[in-house]
Amino acid sequence: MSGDDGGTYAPKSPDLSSFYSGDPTCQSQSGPSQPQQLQGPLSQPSQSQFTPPHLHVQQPLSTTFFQGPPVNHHHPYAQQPHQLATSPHALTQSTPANTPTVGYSPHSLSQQYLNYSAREPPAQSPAQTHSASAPGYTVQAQAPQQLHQQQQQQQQIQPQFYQSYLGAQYQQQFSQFPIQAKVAQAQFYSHPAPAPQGAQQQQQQQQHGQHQQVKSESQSPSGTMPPKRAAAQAAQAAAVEPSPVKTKFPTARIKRIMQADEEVGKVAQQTPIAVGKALEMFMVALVTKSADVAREKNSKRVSAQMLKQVVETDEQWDFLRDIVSRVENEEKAAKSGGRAKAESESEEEVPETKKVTRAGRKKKT
Amino acid sequence: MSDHEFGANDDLSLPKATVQKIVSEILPSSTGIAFSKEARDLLIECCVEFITLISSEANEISEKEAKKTIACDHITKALEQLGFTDYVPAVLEAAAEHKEVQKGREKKANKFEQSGLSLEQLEQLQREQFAAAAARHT
Repeated sequence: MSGDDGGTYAPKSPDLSSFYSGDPTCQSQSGPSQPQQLQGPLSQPSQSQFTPPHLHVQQPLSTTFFQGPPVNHHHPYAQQPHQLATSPHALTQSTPANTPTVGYSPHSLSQQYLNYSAREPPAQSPAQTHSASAPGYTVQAQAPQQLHQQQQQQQQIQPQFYQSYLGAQYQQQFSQFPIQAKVAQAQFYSHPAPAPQGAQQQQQQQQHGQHQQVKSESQSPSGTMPPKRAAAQAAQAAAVEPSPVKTKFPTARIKRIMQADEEVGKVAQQTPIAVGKALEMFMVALVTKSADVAREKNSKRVSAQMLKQVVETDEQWDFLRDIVSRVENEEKAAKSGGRAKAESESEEEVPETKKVTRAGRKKKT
Repeated sequence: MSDHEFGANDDLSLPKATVQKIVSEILPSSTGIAFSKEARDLLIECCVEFITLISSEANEISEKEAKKTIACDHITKALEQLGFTDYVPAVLEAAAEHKEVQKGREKKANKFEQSGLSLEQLEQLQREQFAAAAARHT
């Protein structure tokens, strides 16, 4: 982790204590830092257009707060998952490093909705309410989408530490507003009543924990566990199957490629290593799949064609389509019907395709 | 960067030999499947594109966090956003591993710890050496 993270992060650290404590009294200390973030979501256009009837409710948030009866708000609440789902930025970029208390970013809509639905009445200041409720909501809304794919993985990784404090928070929220809690639960999980909270909370925590874990390098959770150790533990706990690849990419080269993009500025020392690892897995996936294709075609040689075929069959690789199609097109231009011969990939075809590939590369660089 | 001393020609690509080596590690000769040269070249292009994609996404994330340096967790976030969530644990592990190696190196560099002597012992040693040097000059 680079030194910068700590540096930028430090001044805002008061937020942390409230985040991890889950105690409303502590949250008051984070009050002063909240207001700017409160304003953020209000001015966000996407939000106002998508729930016009409730606008009047959102605005009071920063001023008078809580005008309508809270029960009404389960409506926008229900819509929120879409918003969250379509904008992963709102979730992942949420910069816990800056404002972990708020959990999910200045633009995160969740903060507002949670205020209505799962928090206590206006007796408290908006900022207070805010800080406690935001993480809870975001996690909840997000859970249905990602839960299934990630849950198992999270179960291993999840540091106990998060479970305990989050658990406390949710208990608090749900018990304070049982009706809302029910509504929320019914919507997301179709569970009947607060009874299954325990299970849900765990799911939510796991969700939350995942983000925490990913980011834990840049934050410094107060309390029992230093962040670096948390990150290291999480990484070690995850069962990573050994890669067949022993050779490592030269990190200097990776860094250079990264920085070839003018937008990219400084790169932490570890970053090229992380990218190198990701690249390695990327290659393993691509190579194994294209080898499978070769096997299907009874070929002993993986051709550029097959690689192209792999790229085109999976959406995950859609960013490679340009590259791959360029090869194809030029090949077509070079000799018509080249594609039809893909099946009988022979030695004599090799030199030609090779030329084409080279031409493509020159173009690119 | 000290990279400029190398030829700028192959600058933004990956070394072919390394890629070929990795490919043959993935597809050992026992599988009976070889990777053609043009496929390898295409693979290299894809790899470069992949790096570019990840780094620009990570750069965006780091900018939104008002960070000037792209850190490891920006990479993992970028991977998640781009649909490579399954790479994240391994990437974290590799980064943690590297961190450990780095620590080990720092420790090795620390001569004081390396010597295995206490401060008193070292001072004693120093005095002896001073005395020996002084004796030589007189």
